[in-house]
Amino acid sequence: MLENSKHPKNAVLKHKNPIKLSRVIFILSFILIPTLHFAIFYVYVNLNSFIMAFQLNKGGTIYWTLENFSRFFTEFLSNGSEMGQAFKNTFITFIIQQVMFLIGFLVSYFLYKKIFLYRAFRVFFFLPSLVAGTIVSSIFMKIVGVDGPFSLLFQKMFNLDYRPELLADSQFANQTVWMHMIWLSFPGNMVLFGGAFGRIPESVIESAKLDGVNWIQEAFRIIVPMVWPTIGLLLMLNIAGIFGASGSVFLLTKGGYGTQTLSNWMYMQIYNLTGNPGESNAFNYMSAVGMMLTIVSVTLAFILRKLSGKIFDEVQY
Amino acid sequence: MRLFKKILTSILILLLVMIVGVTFLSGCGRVSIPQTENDVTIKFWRSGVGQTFLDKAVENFQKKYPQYRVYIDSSTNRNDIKNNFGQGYDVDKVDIWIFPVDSISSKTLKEYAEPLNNVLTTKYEGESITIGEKYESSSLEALKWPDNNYYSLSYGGGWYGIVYNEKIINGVKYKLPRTTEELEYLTIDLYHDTALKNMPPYIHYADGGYWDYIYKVWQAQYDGMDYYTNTFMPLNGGESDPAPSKAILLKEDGRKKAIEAMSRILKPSYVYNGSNSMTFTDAQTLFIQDKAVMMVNGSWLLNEMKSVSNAGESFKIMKTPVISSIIEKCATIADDAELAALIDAIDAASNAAEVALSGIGYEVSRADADKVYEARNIMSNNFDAHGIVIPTYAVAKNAAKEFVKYFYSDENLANYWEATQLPLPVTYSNGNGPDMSTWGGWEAQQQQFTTSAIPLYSIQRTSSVIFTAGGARPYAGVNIVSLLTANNADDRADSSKIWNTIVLNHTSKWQSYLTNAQL
Amino acid sequence: MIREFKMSWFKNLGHRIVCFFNRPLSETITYIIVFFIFCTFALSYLYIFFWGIIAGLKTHSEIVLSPFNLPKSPQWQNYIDVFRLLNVNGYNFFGMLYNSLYFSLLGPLIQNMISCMLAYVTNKYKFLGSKFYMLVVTVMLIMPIYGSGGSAYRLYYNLGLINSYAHIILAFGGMNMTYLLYHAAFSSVSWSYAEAAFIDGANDYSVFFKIMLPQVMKIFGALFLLAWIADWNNYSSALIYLPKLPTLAGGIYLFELDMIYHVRRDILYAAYMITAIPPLILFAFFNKTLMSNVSLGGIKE
Repeated sequence: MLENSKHPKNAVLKHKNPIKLSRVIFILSFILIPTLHFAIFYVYVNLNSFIMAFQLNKGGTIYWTLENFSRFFTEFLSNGSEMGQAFKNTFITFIIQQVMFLIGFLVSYFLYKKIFLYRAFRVFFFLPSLVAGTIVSSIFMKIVGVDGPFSLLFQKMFNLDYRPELLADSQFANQTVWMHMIWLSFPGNMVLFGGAFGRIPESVIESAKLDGVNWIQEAFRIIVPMVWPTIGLLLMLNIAGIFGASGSVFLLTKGGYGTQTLSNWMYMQIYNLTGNPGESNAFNYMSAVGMMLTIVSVTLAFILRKLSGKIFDEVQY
Repeated sequence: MRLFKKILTSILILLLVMIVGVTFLSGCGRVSIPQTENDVTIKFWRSGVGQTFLDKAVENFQKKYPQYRVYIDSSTNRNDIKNNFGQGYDVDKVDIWIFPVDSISSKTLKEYAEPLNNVLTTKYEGESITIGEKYESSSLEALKWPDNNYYSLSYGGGWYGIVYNEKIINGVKYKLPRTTEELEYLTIDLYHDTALKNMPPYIHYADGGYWDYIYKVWQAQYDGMDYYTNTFMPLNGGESDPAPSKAILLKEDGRKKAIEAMSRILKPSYVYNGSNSMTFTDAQTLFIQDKAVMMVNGSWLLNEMKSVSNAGESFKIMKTPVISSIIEKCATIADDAELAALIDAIDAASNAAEVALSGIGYEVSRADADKVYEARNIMSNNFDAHGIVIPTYAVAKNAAKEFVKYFYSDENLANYWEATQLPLPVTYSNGNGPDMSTWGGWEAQQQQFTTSAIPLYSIQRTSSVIFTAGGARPYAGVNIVSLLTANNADDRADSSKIWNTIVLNHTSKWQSYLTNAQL
Repeated sequence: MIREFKMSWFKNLGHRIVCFFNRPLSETITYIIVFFIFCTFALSYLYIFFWGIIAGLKTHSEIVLSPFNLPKSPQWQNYIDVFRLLNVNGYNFFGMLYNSLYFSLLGPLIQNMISCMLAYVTNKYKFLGSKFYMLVVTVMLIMPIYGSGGSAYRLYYNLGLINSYAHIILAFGGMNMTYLLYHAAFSSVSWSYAEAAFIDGANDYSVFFKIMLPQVMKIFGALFLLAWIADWNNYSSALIYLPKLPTLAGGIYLFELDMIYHVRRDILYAAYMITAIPPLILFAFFNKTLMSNVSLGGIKE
């Protein structure tokens, strides 16, 4: 017997035959591995991280403590601390990422509208993501170096009597890291937006044209509601990952000259200790910091989940 | 196009199948090194010393001792030893680490490194003295730990100093400075020289370059080697203030004087623009290509840069100028001019006792002459950091020791010096150093320092546990050079601000130093 | 045929020009501005490759002393020397290429397959916990947990997954973003195909592999390619988890440190350009597949 859903066209049909052993084996074979994987590499890892946040290793003895949390608050609240700086940079990077999200949407929109040479642009915009970040960043560092055009440009713009070392000058280091991020994230989510726009019926666009809408109205009053599920989900993922917002800090500055971000700080805790995971308490401190960030981001995610459904009603087509 | 896509898809699938098959069948094509008592694995740090000397040593050792086989695994990653040494045979299958040992904790070294005392007490076959007797005495002393064991021996390294371009500082227009005050005047003169418009006085690389090896010499000059080695580094305040002493760590000592001296010679305009973000080889390339007059560097500089330029005769290391504020501790030295005159007399003498107590421009006491003599001859080096270490859990431990003994044989030392022309703090069994008749001026100078310099080593065996395990550093990790030379005024600091930052850092972290050191 | 193609391209171009200028003036100006912005960014991306190729033809000194000049005498030998000198922890170019292919081909293939299978079974079959997976994945994505990297590293270390080909086991997870995409994709695949197959005597496995999976093959291909590109270029995980089994992305970072040490920036940049070739070739052939087959329909509750 088959069960129809409310919408016969897009019915998700559930198979309701009497349970057969072969079916049970089939289902189990498909879910066993991912479930085990989830249990070990997600549940266990995060539970263990939670426990590590309350532990410290001293002289080979593990003892329970709140020292990691008190250290976090002390560092966060002290003037000019690296942790405070990391928070500030993370928030600014996050805001820039949201702006770039909008720009990425517009880039995809103009490509969808087949701006002149759109096929070539689609290829060129994909190029940086095809090449390892280490390569792009290494060449970028040469281009923004003291001998490069950007150093000269900044010298003239800021009326300096020297050519600044953009990545080694606290006045410019953050801006240079953000410039790198903006430059590389300009194309945005070309693939996902492209796919979503591709599903929009041409008839809707043509009738809108006949009604005399301009490109702004077309983009924001017609296309956005039609692809809102895509936009909404991407926005939500963006916002949920707020504390992961970071430019290529590791490759460009390793967190020096005031550019540290939370994500880079966490990465470097592991990077600096590879090979000796048992010896240091850095992982425990990292777990405590992570826990504080998770609490905040979970709260944010709940609030935003409620808000996002109220902005646009989903359009079915 | 469709056909191409089909072909490419098929190639991808075939590739996938091959990858899975090869992975399971062949162990990925890597030849695994046998692990027996006669198969020695050497992990070697590729650096400015080069690898030719080691390749030769291995080749000749295997010819002489055909029962042994030696395999070299080289790396430029300094962290390899930190990430592997001391983790037991399951992780670390190396029999000899020929690597920088300053990145592993002294606790780990003492626990997992095989004592090499019996290597030092061995006379290599046909030689008249022991390997230990071949060592320069102060170098050997520097390698000895408080428990009288030698956990590492030296395979190379060199001296640190201010390298200068001889085409500019040639004794005609510009002379070598004897004191830091003279160095300051030299710097100013070079900066104002219109003929050197595009050649600033200094260049360094990111994170202060090698400057720390100069300012710690100035610290030791001011405080004296005895205070530096036996009071400061162990943080030993004596009976009334036993180690670790916070007061010693926070005391205004030679460190403050060194920073003041640094602040007079290092300013943004005196330094090649971009130094604070440069890699060391880029800075060296520019220096060798005459883009700056002076650079703090080491004996390996020209060897390291030989692919760029054969500029051997144009560069030398100057004897580190004596810190001018040393006269505060010398009752009989009135001013910098008298200090400079005394230094001339010191440079002309072959030992401290030979220095006349009076001469043209000076008249001093024996105590002051000895103090300045010591100061003039202190030089930083890293022979102790370039270590030969055998893990206690090594499978081919005995074979490894035989290789180390061979390494110090006269035969191999000759090959070493032929391949590197770099200094090593040992001699042949007849007491002579290498034959330098074919060596250039630079190379010969480095070897001469081995007999004349008072060495200041990279790893101080007397260091307090606050430094070795507590996470503290003498200058609190403050990047003095970047603070002095930053173009941006907001990033810049003067010497008193730098000193205050050091004191503040130590004060706020003192408790965590104690915790980390388990005190 | 070529002549006809050229004629139709010109006709098309002419038509497009007419349509372009038939727009309102403000829109025309907007499109022109956007076009120039696009050109600027496109040219800047191309410049990376141009600069890299030229740097690979210089000597080390030329790169340091005059990084933006053309080479005085092109050092073509550098591009050959890369294959001799590129060596990281005992792996040459081909060894690192092998590692890259192993982790970036096998990993996404396994991961996509498992996601696809999990999405299919939870979408089409009703069983206890079938809705649990969608809920869990949704929660995982919108509520990420921070700071667990240390715990993860310790687990991998204890399980012997660091510096090991067994690290591929991490690809066996199916509960991630691709699960959502496959779930949405299967929602639009009719069950009637399966019913017909069951009537003909097919079992559940046959229905999945012979009927259902081919229906989502396009999206599978696109997601596989996307994941392949991401994994191919993943240096951050490679540096932490596989430093002794370097892939091209992680290895090239370690190689950079090595070449800076050995005063050979020329070889470094030549190596950069050579390692960029494989993904460029793949993109050249599969860019349409990538661009047109991925659609994220959102999460339906």
